Amino acid sequence: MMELVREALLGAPPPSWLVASLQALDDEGWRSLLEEARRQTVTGLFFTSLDRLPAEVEVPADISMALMAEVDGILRKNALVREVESTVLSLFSSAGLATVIMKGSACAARYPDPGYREQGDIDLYVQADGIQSVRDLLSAAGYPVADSPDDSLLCNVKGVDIDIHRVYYDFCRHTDSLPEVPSPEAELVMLAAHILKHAAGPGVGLRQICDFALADRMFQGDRQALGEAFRTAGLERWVRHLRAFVCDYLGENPSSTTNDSSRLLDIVASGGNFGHYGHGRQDSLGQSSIKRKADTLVRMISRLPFAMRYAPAMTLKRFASLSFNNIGR
Amino acid sequence: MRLDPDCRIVDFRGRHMLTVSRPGRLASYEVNGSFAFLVWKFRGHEFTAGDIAAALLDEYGIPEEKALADAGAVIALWEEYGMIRP
Repeated sequence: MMELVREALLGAPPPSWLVASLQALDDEGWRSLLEEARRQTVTGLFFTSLDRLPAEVEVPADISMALMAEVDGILRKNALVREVESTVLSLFSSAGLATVIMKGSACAARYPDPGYREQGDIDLYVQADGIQSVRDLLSAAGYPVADSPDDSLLCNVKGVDIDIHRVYYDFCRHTDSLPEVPSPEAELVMLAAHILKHAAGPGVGLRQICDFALADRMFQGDRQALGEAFRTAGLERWVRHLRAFVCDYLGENPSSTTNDSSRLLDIVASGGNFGHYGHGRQDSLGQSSIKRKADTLVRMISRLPFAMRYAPAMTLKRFASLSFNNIGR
Repeated sequence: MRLDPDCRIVDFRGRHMLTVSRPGRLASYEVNGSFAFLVWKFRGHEFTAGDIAAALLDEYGIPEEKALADAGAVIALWEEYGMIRP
């Protein structure tokens, strides 16, 4: 599955060994591949990759139909997300609030088929002094707003979750010395920090890493300034690890690094999208808020050595911030 | 008559799937290439049987009589699938 995602991202013709191994797949093997693509929310990339395969690879009819139905669902959901995004941005703009869209549409634009990137929620950044206005505007429009433990506001508009952040960078609270929002450097720092936040908690899936890989590969700014931004954010070592993963599994020259990225691979493979498919996680997501938070805490503690190894300062800040916000609420 | 702008075609390795939004659910059908072509062409647009026949003539070069007969059959299916808007 990883190899198919790699081919989709690179737009390269599939190697003959991949074609041969797909030709040898039985129905169960195809179903497993599709299931893994779903777990990692990269069904769109999987679809793109399979669509480009030579005709001698026969994709079973039921897999083809399931894939087409899923891609249609992605296209429809993305259209709804765009509509809600536009509604909310107009609402904020009419009140004079400056808003930045985090991830989502900017990431999708870098995909081989932008419409096929699965969008989850809408992440928006609003300057901290605008948060109260946001709360008032959404409530007045009939959309109740809740506080999230990570200090953002949560809202649901027409079935689409909106996460309104008062900090652009996950983990980091002091952004004065970081790149100006929304520069390409700021976006990459944020994408790397976001992956770390989830990898150090319940888990992270392949889609988030694909977002980073594409943004990093297509970055056209000053690489030195970008490196400095990662260093200032305390992400230098983490980004080295992340890039090793990208190079090993999604890059043009696999296994060309000496940095071992197998631990991140374990996290991605075991939990899938935001760790939702990790052992016991689905059960905890259906339970009370306290049990869910306890489950998250256990997972964070188990990944503490991993997180401390790559971003100790950010990890400690995140723990402190989450503890403060959870105790405070 | 206008073809529902919310119906969609997804193509994959020579197969074509049509999805039509119905209240509370989504209906999907596997369709052939010419059907998919016509949905692509007329989705969200006003059309007559003559427009469809002309599109079939242009694209596939079939005899006019057959194009008109096929256009009627396609419109009947679009009606059956609930894809036609007033």
